[in-house]
Amino acid sequence: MFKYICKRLLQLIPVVLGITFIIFVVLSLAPGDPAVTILGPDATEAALQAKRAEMGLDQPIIIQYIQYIWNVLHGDFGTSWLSSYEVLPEFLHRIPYTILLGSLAMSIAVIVGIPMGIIAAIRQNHAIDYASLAMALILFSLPSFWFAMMCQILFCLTLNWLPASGVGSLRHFILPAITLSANILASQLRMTRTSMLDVIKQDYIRTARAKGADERRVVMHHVLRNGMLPVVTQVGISFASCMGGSVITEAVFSIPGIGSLLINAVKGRDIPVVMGTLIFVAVFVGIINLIVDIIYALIDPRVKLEG
Amino acid sequence: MKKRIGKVIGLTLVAAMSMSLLAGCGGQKAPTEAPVAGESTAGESAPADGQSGEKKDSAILATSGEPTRFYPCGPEGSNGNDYLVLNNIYDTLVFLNADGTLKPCLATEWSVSEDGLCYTFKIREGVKFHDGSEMTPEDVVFSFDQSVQNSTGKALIINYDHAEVGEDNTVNIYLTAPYAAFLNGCASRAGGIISKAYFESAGAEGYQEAPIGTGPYKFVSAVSGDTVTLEAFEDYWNGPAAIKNIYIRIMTDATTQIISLENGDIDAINAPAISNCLNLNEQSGAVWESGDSAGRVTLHLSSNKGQPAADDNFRKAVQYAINKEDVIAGTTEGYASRIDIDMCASYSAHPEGYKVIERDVEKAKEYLAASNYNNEEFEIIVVAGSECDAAAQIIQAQLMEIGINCVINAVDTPTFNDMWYGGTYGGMIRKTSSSLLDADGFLNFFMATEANYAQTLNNQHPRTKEIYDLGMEARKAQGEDRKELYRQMVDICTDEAYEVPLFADTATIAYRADLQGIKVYPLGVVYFYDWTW
Amino acid sequence: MGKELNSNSDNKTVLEIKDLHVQYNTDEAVVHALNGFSLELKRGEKLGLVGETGAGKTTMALSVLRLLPSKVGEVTRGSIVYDGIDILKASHKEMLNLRGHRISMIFQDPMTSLNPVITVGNQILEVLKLHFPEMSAKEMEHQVDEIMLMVGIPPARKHEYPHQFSGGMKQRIVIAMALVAEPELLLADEPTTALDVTIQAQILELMSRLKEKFNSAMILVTHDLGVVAEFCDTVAIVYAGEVVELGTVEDIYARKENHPYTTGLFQCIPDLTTTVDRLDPIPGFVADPTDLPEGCSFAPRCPHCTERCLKENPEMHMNGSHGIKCHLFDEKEGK
Repeated sequence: MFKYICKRLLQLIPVVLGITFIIFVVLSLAPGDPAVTILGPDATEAALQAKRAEMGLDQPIIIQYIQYIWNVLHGDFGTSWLSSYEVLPEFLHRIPYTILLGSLAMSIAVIVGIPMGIIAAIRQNHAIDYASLAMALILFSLPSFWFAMMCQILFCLTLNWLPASGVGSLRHFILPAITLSANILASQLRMTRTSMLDVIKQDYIRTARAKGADERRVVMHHVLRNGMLPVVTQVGISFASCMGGSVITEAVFSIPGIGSLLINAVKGRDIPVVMGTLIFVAVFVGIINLIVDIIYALIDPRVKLEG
Repeated sequence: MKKRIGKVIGLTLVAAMSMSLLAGCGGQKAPTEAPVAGESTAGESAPADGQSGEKKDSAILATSGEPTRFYPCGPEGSNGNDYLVLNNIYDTLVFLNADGTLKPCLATEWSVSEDGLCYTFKIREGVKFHDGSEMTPEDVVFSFDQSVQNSTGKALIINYDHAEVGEDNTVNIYLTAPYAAFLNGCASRAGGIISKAYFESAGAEGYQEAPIGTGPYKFVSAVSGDTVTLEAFEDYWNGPAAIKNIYIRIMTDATTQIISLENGDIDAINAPAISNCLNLNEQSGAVWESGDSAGRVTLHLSSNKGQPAADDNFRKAVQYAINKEDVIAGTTEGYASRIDIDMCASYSAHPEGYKVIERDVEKAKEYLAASNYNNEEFEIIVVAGSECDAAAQIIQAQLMEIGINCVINAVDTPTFNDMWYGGTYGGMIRKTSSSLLDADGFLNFFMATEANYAQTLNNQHPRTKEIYDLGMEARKAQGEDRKELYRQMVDICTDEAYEVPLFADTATIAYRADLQGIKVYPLGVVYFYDWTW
Repeated sequence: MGKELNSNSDNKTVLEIKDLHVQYNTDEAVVHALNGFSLELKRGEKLGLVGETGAGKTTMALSVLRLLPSKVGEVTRGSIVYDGIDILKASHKEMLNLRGHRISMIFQDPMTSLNPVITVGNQILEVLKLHFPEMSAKEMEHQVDEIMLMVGIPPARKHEYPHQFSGGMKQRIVIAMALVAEPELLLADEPTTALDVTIQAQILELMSRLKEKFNSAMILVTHDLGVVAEFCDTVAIVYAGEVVELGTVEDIYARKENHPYTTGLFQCIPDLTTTVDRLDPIPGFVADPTDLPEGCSFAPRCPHCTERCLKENPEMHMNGSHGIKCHLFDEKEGK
């Protein structure tokens, strides 16, 4: 197991390098001069050129990239071009918010979506099944910013139960988590339902019934254990994608997480921030995938981790 | 067995992840590490909602542009967003009122030499910095020397040569050439007085992290993307501010700003868009105000070779085709005011008796016929989502009416700047502000090659040099002479139709009705010192 | 609706199926799976149920356990009585008690009959837990070990998972699961079809042994006439959801008199001693259960078909222990 984990972590390195190189090249080639953004509209051409030389922008892109990676390996993630804060501390400061938001949203999606999917599968073609599918369809189709705003208007303005923005307390995260969870809940529900229905059709479920197990035992003991396997994977993947930055939710609710950090950095061509954030996100997602794979191997005896 | 343990472990991992983060981040506002060098200071964010109204010792202002530079003399200078903090923690020698007049601040009186090359300021005594030390004339000299080293300072403190401590608690500032609006520059964000001693001990980085000034508010903390916290300075020379705690909350989404204001979660919104102001529900206790701003929106035409607007007649056609009233109505709900020269009415030395072009569609068509225009694409660039974008849509329709094949290219800011500086556009609509509130701002688009001004190096009109030379004269002139020079400059521009000025923007602020002392300043600055409950 | 078998009085009838009609109500059409299926089984009897795919054999087995798919499967007529219990009217609880305990079923495909995420030991144990809750854990473990030994799997492997066993061993586990509660009736639905021939012999031999040990009655569903000859006492030939011929192995295999379908089946078996150019199948196609013909279902394919066959469905005509459902044997009624 240990060897396997090491191997997987090492495999992350080329992935991260690949991603960062591509993004670095894209951002470097995109229109927009960071020197202009930093020095403002009143700068002289001489000042701009001096700035560009200082930032190393006049060198070939590949050299700049290598220089960047070299610095990173020494722990220096650079300074934001737009706001003069250091990238690493800033990132570490912001990521807890995104993680918290993502965890809450996933918790809601899992706690509500999976049981509903199970019930919908067990009571297939009954009213509850149709209701669940309808709900999943609606939640999936709603544009998240619209949903976020509707929640704000209803819960903040009209009912005055919850705050509309900010991160002062756990209450502040309720609406953002609900908004973010909507999509995920819908897909969890459908995924669970499909998986459960698939399992219910299997021969070994018929065997279980033939053994004299009552329906409850059949579902809880036999169906669930098999039905949940693909769901576990999907939960992990959804969580990883939450981490990618729930940009819209963070923007609407003014949560200083890495989603808003990333989008502002990309808009402003703030390469150090974009790169630093991407490295961490890629590593984070890679680790989550690894955890998911390990968990899957633990719960499904047919799966063996190689290496 | 193995599977069951595995499942338990798996579920526990997931649960543990959520719970630990809940516990860790929940009750607490921000990670409580001690500030390490290079880190932005972690601290408390705004108090929980709903309390700002009752607690009269704090106020929350929401803004969409985050202030990030708290030390004005850093190599990158500062921009409009930083005003919110800079204007409140630093005092300047003179203070620019909302109506454009000056009043004493750190200087109790001042005088100008005959030749306009030396300004003498009498420095107020008994002024303390936030760390308790006394402000002296040395600090003033030091501040000016530092400020002009970055481009913001150079642009705002024009013609600066050097400064000296004079006798009897005065400071003399010497200019290389007279400049009529020098005092406006002293009142700007580049004129904030910093502490020499503190700079020497903390350095520029230390100053950025924990800035001190003599202003009515002290800097407490800045949590990136979240809140900047200010606290009233007890020993402020003019008496402490009425509201003890100010929280500047970063909120990028306009709707969230509105909802939070109506809800009472925040007490004011900085520079809300007019359309949002009009949608404010008065019954919720939220009101808004507007006033003249220092920004103006203008269509600039490129006379670069290969562009349609290189042709004089084409430019005249555009000039006559545009219906400014429609643009104003469609973009700002009628709240902006029309301008015919690229200046706001509030700028000092605003000329009089200049030429005005009234819309004339027939004339426009004549000019177009007389030109070499052959139905090429006339591309106007704008920053996507801005009011310039909205204006562009309307102008496009107006130009197409007379037969110009106009396309709009809405791009993001860095791309816009690239195209602008590179001169690769047919026309551009931009909102420009003069931080000096001075007619000199007109010159920005007419800097000749010798000025090495990046913006204009690729964008020089045939008569740029003429305008530039007049502009250099105007900097030195005073009074009516000065106005006359500007009149000549704008008339050249109008004759050649290098620009079609559209409208002067409005500065806005929205706030809770029981918050007093709110004033709208043309530069859009907010002085928390004025505020009381 | 045939006359009752002349039975030995000391052999108790364990299962009696009378005129069972079962259909599947699918979206496209109604599938008539069983059409007047009748059968009797005595304690300890080994009955071979022979027929082509789709004849309704599995349906019969599922009906006995009342495991037909709930929405789709419907019993429209007939009765099933097991040891005095009316299966079709029994309560849910009674059925739960019967399944796995008094009536066990072995399904066709061992590869998919076992739950992949539960150990084989636990799957066998489950039967005991369901039906003998008062047994102590230790006793249960002991039972499991014993039955595993009996089917030829080392008890040490009870902590392994199904995927770690071969097809033949999986089927042994299924058999172990079916027999651990010592059922009175064992329904084996083509238990060796999915296995190769060498394993087939082992499995069948195992089943025989165990059946002897527990004195269970067994219905062995198969399409293999050879298997029936080796292992069964009685045979029932099924076509289009009905039993068309019934009798002891001697009766059927004597080849003196047979239902035309049975004759056809025997003719299908290639003779290893001679060379032929073509195999000799039964002409025509198996009756379509959604569109059964009026009259005898086999009539369209029968070489002896008459007008009467096309209109009238024949009855089961008994000759001692041998019954044939065909108009041809009308006059042979009685002894």
